[in-house]
Amino acid sequence: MTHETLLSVRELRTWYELRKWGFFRAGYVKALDGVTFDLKRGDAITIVGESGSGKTTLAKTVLGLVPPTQGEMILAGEHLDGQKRGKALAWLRGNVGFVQQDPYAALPPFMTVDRILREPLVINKVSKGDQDARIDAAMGEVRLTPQSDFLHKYPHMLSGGQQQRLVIARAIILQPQLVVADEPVSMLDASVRVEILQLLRRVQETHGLGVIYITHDLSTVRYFSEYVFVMYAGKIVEKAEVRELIHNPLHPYSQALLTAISDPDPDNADTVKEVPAGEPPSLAHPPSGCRFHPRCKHHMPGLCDREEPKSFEPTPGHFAECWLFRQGGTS
Amino acid sequence: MSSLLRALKELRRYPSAIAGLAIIGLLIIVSIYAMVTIPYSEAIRLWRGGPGVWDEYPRNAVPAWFDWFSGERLPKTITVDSRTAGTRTVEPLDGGLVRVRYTLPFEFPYAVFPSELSLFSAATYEGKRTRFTATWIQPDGHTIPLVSDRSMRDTDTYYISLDNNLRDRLPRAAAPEEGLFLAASDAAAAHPRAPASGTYELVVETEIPEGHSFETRLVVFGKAYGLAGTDNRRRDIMVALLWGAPLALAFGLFGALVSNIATFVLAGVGTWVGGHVDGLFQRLTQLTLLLPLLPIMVMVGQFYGRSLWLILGIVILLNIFSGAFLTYRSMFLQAKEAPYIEAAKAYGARNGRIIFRYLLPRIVPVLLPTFVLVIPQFVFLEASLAVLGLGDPILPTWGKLIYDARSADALYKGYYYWILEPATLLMITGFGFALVGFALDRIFNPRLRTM
Repeated sequence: MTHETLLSVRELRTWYELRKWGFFRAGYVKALDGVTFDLKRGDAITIVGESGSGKTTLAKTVLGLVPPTQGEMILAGEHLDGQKRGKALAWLRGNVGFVQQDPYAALPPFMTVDRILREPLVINKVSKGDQDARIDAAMGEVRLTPQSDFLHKYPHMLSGGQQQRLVIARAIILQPQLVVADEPVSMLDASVRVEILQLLRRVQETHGLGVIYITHDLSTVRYFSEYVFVMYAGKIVEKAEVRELIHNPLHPYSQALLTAISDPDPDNADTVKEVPAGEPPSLAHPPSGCRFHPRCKHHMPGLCDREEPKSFEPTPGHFAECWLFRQGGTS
Repeated sequence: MSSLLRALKELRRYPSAIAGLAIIGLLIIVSIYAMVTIPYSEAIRLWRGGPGVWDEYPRNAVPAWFDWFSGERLPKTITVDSRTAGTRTVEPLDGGLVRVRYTLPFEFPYAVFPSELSLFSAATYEGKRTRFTATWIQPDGHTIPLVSDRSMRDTDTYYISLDNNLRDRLPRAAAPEEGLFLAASDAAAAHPRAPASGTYELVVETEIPEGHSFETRLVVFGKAYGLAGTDNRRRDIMVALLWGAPLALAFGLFGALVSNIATFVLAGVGTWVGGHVDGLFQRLTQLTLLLPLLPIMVMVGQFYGRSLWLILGIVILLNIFSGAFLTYRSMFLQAKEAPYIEAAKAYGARNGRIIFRYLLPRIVPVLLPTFVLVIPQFVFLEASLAVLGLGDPILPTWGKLIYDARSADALYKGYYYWILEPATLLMITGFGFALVGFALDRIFNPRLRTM
């Protein structure tokens, strides 16, 4: 597996415009506010964060579904910025796959399995002879076999797990370099979650794909990826390898997230978990300085609420945007 | 498209839908029949009436099938034409004149008096007045002189029923259409008064220039006519009932389709483009919802015209940005945000493909029942406007019929059929479309099945 950089994101910002009376601008929702990361070919990264932290906006921006307001995105050496967006987008769409959260909603209910898998091929002008072979291969890969049993079914005739496997088949049928999976198992039964994640992992390894796995559920992370990025209020607050993050979370928010994981341990019945009070901040008017400071127990007045923390690297390969680590960090 | 056809086939499983389709089919057949047998211009001419069009039809006659329910046999109109019936004698006179004497016999078998009597005559000479004498002979041979030496023009009508002179001479001063049919023996009896049945004769005598002809026609107006009866202007209501069908269907279908499709497309464009276009459409809708339809129609009728097609145009315009716009918009918004459309964008589908292959297949089936259910609303709207006197002044529509009946106090005078016939047809039309619409709704929106 080559370890060149597949996707490089620099200071990416996606702001949604707010309207007043349908005409007048009333400000912005800063759903994504300065995100920077690299993804190597063949690697999987997990992005965790609570609802409204900007995870899904990040996915949509990377997929080209939402135009970024600012920043730079480079996929396999291709710049995807403002000027040549039309052309770059067309190329991007053949090279990213998208696995959505709700498999039933992600599949057009009026199309058969065959049609669903054929649509991306037709749109991206794959030759007729190739189409059947690719459909057959993709279905084999996600184990929708025997293929002839499924081709003429409609999505509602499939089980939840089968639907999600079909969504994965559709995401990889164009042989993309990058797959974005936005909470791919949160709508599924616990019984098929692991199966789907393992399937995704196997597909990733077979094709050497880059995968961005987005979830709010840290307990599924260990099945999957090499790196974990923690998002809070439109920013990535901590980046680390999976083991490192789980055993040694640095950012107070990451610590809170980890505390919140429910492990099937009888001792947990007696422990009261300390979860930060309050709600995620409004993205239209984020708090000044560190966005977590109103909920942070290590809040340092005069610093945290004034200045945005920079990215510090207290241990090699482990980054945190928190003023607590300013002494040992690089700025 | 195939799913649409499949759903339409499923209609067969609903007896109510079959009944509705049968009603709609029948209306279409009636419309075609009306347009084939009575051309548009002919229908307008007939409904406008005027001299010579309806003269020989009875006034306010009930439909002939009333007999089945009343048990009475109401008289039908009897026409005796000197060209085809009776006998004539021609007697030369001095001075280039001939005396012509017609005998016009007719059989009167009814137990109810006719409604009117008239004598129409036409001659081939022009501009010259002649005199004529008419005598009425009852079945028992009793003769009643009607007029003697009455002056008449070349084309003239002698309204026997309106002859007050005659009325005064008849027993008990009965109206001529009654008095002439009372047997002499019966005349003195007060009640019950009934016409004597048998063969009557009218003898007409006149002097005309030699080499010319003079033809006359006795019309004994009945009290029942045809399938639909007649109105106070002797018009056959059937003409309006028949022509009302294509006009109602045209107004309903055209209005519903054009306004709905326009609303649908604009809602789609608005939600798809979004931004200011969507905002503008929403403001227009809010504005239109505030506009009062009826006062506007009254003003248009007052200042511009009341042509059916003008009314249709304005109704469509006012309906484009109506409440339906908001419904469609919300459906488009919902469908537009569907994850599978996002997925389609992610694999590169362009706008056209998304709209036609992803958006419409989802929305059209849901809206199809609404399309059908809106049709009768337009039919009723046209009828309501007509009833309020804002209808087309020359076209025979069902609403116009009700308007005419109301202005002639039809209900007060007991001409129920005049109002009930068009009203029934309107209800049946609404019913037919409603049956089909509800069945479609159940097919396309299966969640309703359990409710």
